[in-house]
Amino acid sequence: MIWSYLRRVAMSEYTALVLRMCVGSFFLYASMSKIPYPAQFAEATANYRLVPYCCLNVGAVIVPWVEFVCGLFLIIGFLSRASAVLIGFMLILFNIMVLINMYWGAPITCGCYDTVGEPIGWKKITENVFLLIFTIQIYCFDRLFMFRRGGLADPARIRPTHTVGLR
Amino acid sequence: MIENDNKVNILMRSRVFRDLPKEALNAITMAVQDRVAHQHTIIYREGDPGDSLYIISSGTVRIFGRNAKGVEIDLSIQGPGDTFGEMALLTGEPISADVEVLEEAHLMILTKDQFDRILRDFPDISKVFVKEMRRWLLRDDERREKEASKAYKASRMSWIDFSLVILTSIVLAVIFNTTNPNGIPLLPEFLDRSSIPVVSPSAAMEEIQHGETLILDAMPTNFYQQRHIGGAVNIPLGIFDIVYLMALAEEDKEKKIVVYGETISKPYDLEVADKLIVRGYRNVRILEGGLTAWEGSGYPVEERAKK
Repeated sequence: MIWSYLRRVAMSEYTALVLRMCVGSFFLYASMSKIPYPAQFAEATANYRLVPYCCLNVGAVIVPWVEFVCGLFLIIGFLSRASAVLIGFMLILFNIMVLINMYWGAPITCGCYDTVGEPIGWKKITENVFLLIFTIQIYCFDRLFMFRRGGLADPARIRPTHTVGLR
Repeated sequence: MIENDNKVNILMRSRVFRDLPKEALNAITMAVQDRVAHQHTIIYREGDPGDSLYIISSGTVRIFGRNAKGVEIDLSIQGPGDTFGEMALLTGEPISADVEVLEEAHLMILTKDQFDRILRDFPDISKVFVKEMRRWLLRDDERREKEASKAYKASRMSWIDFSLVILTSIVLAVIFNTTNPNGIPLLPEFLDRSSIPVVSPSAAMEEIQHGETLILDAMPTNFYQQRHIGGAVNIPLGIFDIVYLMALAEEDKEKKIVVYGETISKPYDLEVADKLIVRGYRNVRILEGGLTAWEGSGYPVEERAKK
């Protein structure tokens, strides 16, 4: 009983709407602290010692804006699936980078929200895994209050209508 | 041709006619016309006027509709004993879906007049139709719902969506970066590594032992604190000017200096060496292979005690 209820909640479009707002706001906030100071973000990224020097500045300028646009699109419901996929992709990449640096024992901070950020560790990994699960839920079940969901099929047009069958 | 008895048997398998008395079934079988429809024959098109009731004696037919995009959606597969066309006869509306023969079918056809006569003679049959119609409606709706849900879930992401999000981000990023007082060049300045001499770990070690060389660690402070060459002075790039004033400004410009600290993400050593050369130091060299080569040569490093 409780499982079926939880399952229904997990697969609900209303849950997707709430998660869309939460994840969108989270990324919007995270991007706002990085956008004005690209040099500091480039330094924080360089600390991971995984991004090639030639890509460092381009990444530091563009990535916060991808976060901003995806967060904004999730909130307003425009291309929400593509935004969810991009955010999920960034989360996976970020987790891989954190895990590698944890393995190396690198004494660095995550650089997620501001120029300092919090030290990398399992807490950060868990946080990102939850966000990743949220983006998967949004990708699969989001269908409320949106301009355009994305994908080839337009849900509004393939919604069934009640018709009298042939007899 | 199908024998009368067989036809009665088929009618007795039909949900609609099975409750009729045998005489009535006999009367129907006498009245119906026979038709053989070959595979892929379209018996009805959506919108056709409904003028007959079809009872399937053998073979199968497919009843299907189309969604808004014109994709065919199967509503049902009908076999022996099943009927179609009665809804249009009852309501007077045109046929609302297409009917195609899947396997060669023997059909019994009741015209509208014959159908009306049966309804008049056996009014109870109307109740059966009402029940059947309700069942069909529910089943059709359920089927359409499933099809719609399947199509909805299967809708693939379009590369245009991704391109749109990424392109918007790039355009905004570039515009903002050019107007931002804290903006940075998209491509970093590449210093020429070959313009600064290098020194091997063994040669550097020898110089250190003679006390002639100053070792500078150009990595950020947290990395320096974690591990560095013994006796090295940390001069992080971010606070170069402050550390320079505090630790190096008084040093002899002829002093031998070895700088190390390079990662894939930043040539800290090169940048610090370049700044020192600009400030007039003439004996600045880069440690070949950095800290990794130093450790690889078996020379000691100072490490922060692990908790």
